[in-house]
Amino acid sequence: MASLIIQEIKQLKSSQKNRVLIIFWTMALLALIINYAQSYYEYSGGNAIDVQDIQVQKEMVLKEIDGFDWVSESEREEMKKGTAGRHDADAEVFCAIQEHDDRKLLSAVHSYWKSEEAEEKAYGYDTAHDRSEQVRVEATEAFRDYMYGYYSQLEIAAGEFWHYDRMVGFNFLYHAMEDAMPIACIVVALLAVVDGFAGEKESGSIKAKLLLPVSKGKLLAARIVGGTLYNAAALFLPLLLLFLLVGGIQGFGSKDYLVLEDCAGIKTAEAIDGKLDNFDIYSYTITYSKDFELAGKYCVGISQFLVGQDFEDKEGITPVPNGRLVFSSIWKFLLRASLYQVLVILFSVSVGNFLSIFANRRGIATAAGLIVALVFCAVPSRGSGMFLISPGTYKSGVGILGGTAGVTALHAVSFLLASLLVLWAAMVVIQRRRDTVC
Amino acid sequence: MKILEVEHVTKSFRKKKVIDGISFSVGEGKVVGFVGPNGAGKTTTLKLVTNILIPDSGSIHIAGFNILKEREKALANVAGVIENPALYMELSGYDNLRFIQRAYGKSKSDMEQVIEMIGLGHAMRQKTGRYSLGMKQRLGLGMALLADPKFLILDEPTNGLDASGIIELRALICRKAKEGTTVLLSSHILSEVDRIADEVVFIKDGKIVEESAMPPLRKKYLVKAGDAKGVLGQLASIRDAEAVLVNDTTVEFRVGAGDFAKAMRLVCQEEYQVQDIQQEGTQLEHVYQDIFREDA
Repeated sequence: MASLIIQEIKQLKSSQKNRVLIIFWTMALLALIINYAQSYYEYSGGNAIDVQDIQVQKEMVLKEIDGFDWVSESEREEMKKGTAGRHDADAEVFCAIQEHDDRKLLSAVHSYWKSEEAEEKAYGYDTAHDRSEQVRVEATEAFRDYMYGYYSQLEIAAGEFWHYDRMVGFNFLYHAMEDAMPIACIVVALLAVVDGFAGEKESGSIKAKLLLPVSKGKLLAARIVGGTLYNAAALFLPLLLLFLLVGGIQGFGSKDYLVLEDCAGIKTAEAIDGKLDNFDIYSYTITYSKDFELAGKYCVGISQFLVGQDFEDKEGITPVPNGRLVFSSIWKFLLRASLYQVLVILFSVSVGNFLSIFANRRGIATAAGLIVALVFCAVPSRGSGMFLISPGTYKSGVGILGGTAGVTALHAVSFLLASLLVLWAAMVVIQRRRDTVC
Repeated sequence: MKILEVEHVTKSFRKKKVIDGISFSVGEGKVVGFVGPNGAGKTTTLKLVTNILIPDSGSIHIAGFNILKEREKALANVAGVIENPALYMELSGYDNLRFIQRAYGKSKSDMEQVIEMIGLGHAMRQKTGRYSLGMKQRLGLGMALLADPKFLILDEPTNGLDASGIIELRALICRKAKEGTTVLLSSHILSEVDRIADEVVFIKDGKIVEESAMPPLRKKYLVKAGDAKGVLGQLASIRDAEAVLVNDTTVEFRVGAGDFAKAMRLVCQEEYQVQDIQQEGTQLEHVYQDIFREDA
C-alpha cells in the first residue's frame, strides 16, 4: 500500500499539469500579498481621494435635487441641507480614519448617523413611522449586520476600515487561509487528480497497477491518500514559504488575534439596551491581529452607540457586557483551519477520482472536473451549513471563522463523511463496471 | 500441474462477441506460443487472463486461484507486458522500475540485476517518454522480470526491438524457462514462436482452433552433401527426425530443437562431404497456413 501511495505522489509530482497548478496557486498567493500591500498603502495615505469622491457625489446629488419640481422650494432646500450634511459627515469619517484618531472616528460616525437621520427627515421618510420605533429597528438591523461582520452598514460607514490590514507574516497567513485556501482546496486539488484514471487509461500505464497483486479497492484508496497528501503539500508549502518571506521582510506581527467571545446577540443587546427584540446571532469573532487592536475597540464602541447608548457618557471605550474581548493564539486557528482544509482536499480528491473513473480521455475528465469545481465554488451557502462542499460555507462565519470548536468539528466530520460517501460510490462503480478502470 | 486454466470464457464489447467460449491451459514450466492473426482476440484473451478485463462468463484459474474470486493470490504468480509496455512516461526509467521493486518487495540488488539484464543502465535517469520504442519494450520487460513471476505473459515482446534485442530476448526467455518460469508468448512472428515455444495455442475469431495438437515443433532443413544417402542413414538413427532424399545431393529433414545438435554431430562428418545446411521454413508456418488458409 505504501509503495502505491508513493507512486501516486511521484506521478502527481512529475505531471506538467500539476506543476502549472502549483505555479498558478503560488501566483494567487503573491497577488494576495500585493493586494494587501496596496490596500495598506492606500489606507496609510490615499484617503484624500475618497473624500474628494464624496464631495463630487454630493455635488451631483445636490444638482439632482434642484430638478425636483414636484416639491416646494423650501422642501428642496431642506433636502439639500440634509444630503449635504450626510455627505460632509461621511467625509469626516474618512478623515478620521486617515488621521488614525479613534475618538474623532467615533464622533464622525455619530455625526454620520445623526445626519442620515436628518436627511431622512428632510425627505419625509420618517413621517409615517414612529421615530423611536424606526431608530430601534434600524439600530437592531445595523447591529445584526455588524454582528455578521463583512456585510455591515458600519463597515461601509467606516470606509471599509476593517479590510486594511498591515501586511505582516501572520496577517498574510490568516488572510490566505481565509480568502485563498477555501477556493484552492476545491479547484487545485480536484483538477490535480481528475484526469488520473483517465490519463492512465489513455496511455495504458494503468495496466502496470492492475497487474499488481492488490485489490482494486486498494488501488483506489492509494490514489485518494496519495492525492490528498500531494495536494496538501502543494497547497500548504507555497503558503508557508511566502509566510516566511513576508515575515522576513515585513516582520511576523503578533501571534495573537482579537476575539470577541461569547457575544450572543440576545445577551449583548439586552445588556446594553434592555429593550431590543431577540434576534438570532451566532457567536462572532473579530479577526484582526493585535496590531489592529484598535479595530476591535471601535467595533465594540460603535455597537454600543448603535443600540442607543451614548458613548460620550463613557470614559473611553469598554468591551461589550456579557462578551469577552480576548486574544487568541493564531496557532489554534491555523491548526483547526488546516485540519478542515485537509479534509476539504480529501473530499475534492475523492470527487476528482470518482469523475475520472467514468472518463477514458484526459480532456473529458478535465472538462468534467472544471465544471464540478465551478459548481462547488458557485453554490451560495452563507451560514446555511447545508452546502458543505462550497467554500462559501467556510467563509460564512459558521465554520472555521465561527470560532466554536464544535461547529468546526461538525463541518470537518461532514466533509469526512461526504468523502467516504463518494469513495463508496466509486467502489460500487468499480465493482459493477469493472472494466471501467481498464 | 497447470499454471493457467481457461474454461469457456466469453467476452463481448458492445454486444459484439470478441472471445467466444475459449478453453485452453498452460502447463507449468512450458513456453507456450499464442498465435493468431490480427483481431483474433489474442490481446483480449491476455487481458482477461490478467484480470485487466472481466469475462462475461467462464472461469480463469492461475496457479489454482480463481482470478475473479482470488485476484490478489492469482496475480501474485503473474507478470508481463500486455499490448504495449505499461510505463509512466513522465517518470524516469529508474522510477518506473523502483515502483515495481517496492510493490513486489524486491531488493535494490534485484533491480540492479534487471537493469543490467535489459541493458538500459545508461538511460535510467531519462524520462521514459523520451525512450525509443525498443527501449520502452526493454523497460517493460524489465518491469515484468523484476516481479520474478512464476508465469510470464509477453504480448508481442519483439515489437520495436532491433536484431540484437530480439536475440537477447530469445535467450532471456529460454533462460527463464530453464529456471522454471512458464511463459505465454503472443507473437505474430512465427519463426520466433517456433524457436522458443514448446507448445502453441492457435486462436481465430475469438475461438481456440488448435491447442498443442502438433508434435513438438520441428524445423525443416536442407542438407547438400556429396554423400546424401550417408546423411540420410545417419538421420534415420534419430527417433523423432523425419528425413527424405530430395535428389542425389540433397536431403530434407525435420528435427526438434532438442535433437538438432545431435543431428548436426552425426551429419557433419568429413566422409559425407557436407557443403551446405539451410533452414527452410518451419512446421509452425505450415500449420499456421493450414489453419488460417482463408486469412492467408
